[in-house]
Amino acid sequence: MTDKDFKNEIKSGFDKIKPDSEFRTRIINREFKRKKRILHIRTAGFCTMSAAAAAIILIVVLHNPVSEQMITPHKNTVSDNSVSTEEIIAEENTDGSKQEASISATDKKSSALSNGSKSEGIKHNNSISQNAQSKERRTVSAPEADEPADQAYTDQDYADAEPFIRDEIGSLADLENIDIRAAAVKSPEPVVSCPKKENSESAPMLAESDEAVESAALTQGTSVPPYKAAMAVLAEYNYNNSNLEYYQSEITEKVKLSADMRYNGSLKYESEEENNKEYRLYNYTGDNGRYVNIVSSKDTEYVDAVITMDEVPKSDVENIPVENSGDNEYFFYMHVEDTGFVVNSKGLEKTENQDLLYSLGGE
Amino acid sequence: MYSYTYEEVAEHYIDMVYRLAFARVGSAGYAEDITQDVFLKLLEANPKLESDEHMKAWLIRVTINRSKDLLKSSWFTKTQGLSCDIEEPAPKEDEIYGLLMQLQKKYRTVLYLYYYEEYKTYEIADIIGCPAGTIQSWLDRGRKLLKKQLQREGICK
Repeated sequence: MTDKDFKNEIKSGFDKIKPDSEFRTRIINREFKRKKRILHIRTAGFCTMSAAAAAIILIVVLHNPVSEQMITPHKNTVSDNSVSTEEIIAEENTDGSKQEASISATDKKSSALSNGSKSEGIKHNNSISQNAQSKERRTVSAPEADEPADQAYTDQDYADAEPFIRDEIGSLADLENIDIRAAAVKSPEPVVSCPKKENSESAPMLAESDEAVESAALTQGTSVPPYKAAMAVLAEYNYNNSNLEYYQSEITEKVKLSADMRYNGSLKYESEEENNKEYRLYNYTGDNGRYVNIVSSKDTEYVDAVITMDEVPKSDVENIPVENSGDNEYFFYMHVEDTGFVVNSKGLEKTENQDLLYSLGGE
Repeated sequence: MYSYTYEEVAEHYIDMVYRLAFARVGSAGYAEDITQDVFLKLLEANPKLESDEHMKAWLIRVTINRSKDLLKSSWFTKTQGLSCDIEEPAPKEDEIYGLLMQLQKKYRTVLYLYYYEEYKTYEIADIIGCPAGTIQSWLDRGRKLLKKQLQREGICK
């Protein structure tokens, strides 16, 4: 299949996705409606039922003279029996005190109507009701501004960071020659910055890693190791920030490499969208620009796809699929037990690659 | 300055917005929600843009942001759609549409923007807010996975 055919196939696939003609007309005619989410179950069903039940209770309570007395400051609104539930809720939303008063009234009324154990349940329902109603209001109201997050960094910032984050998997070893300045785009100090996150576990790890960096700086004569610079940039740009941390595992113990290959640390990260698809990157650098990046993941879909592709050549080592990107750089694809590996090596001898692959395979 | 009317833009880009939203969330109902949000946003924001291309990019960006919001929302993560969602066209396993829908959404999105909307990888990176290397990687992986599926289904050799 040529690239053109492939492109046409993809286009034909996406061509089948079209909006409903009625929906299309409605949007063009500026007729916006509430969202169609009643087709969902589980939590949705529970919330809907709870909201409906709580709304009924709220109406009954608000129309009752006892509750009128309890919410005297807002008597005008509540005593108007013609007011709709939505209007009541809308007013409550604009007046926090009234909302509290209503809840209080409801709870008290509940207590009056039933024993104490039931009032807890009703209170809970109220809470759910208001949450659900609040949510519903949000869905039909105008969208809130979501652009600020996109504008937090300027184009220049991205341009500066581009060399670092160009390839989060394959290029860490290349970073040694890049000015560390860009690593601290938002930080006045040339030290790694960490995504600010409450309850984050990264703080102690960062402290530990700082020591490692200082140690590495002493031995290597550099101010900040390149892998840490890359992590700083990734963190600075909020990229997979929730999962950035230093990581050690058994991989580092079983990997067999030449003496000049130094372990530079690891990245553990997840895709933002597919949370259970975790990737781990182990980076080693050696003399003369040699490096090894090992990416491991429990998501073996990609590796399996490559392994079974006929057009990907097989290596001499157990027929492991390999792609040569030139300049003595190779990408090996392995599926060992329940883990997928992509091994990217550059500058390694054939025997070194062989030892590496066998060591990852557990031999 | 680029001058436009809402109707012109909606008429011209509603399919694109809907397709992209569908590629992101994989559900007709959610795609309609997102599409509606995007055009509501257009009405409210009434952005001053330089050209039609900027308008297209603006719409794509808002669609991506809306999709992200939805995917992160507790509603999306705590609910499950009924299987009898009659609005969605039934994908046939032997068709390219069905194969595209089987891909992870990040691959699907990048394939859509690259092949259908014909954006460059660095442009997609800018729109989605990811490094260009990541986009290239997703594109490469998406291509390989799709080709593999096509081979398996006998659609191509």
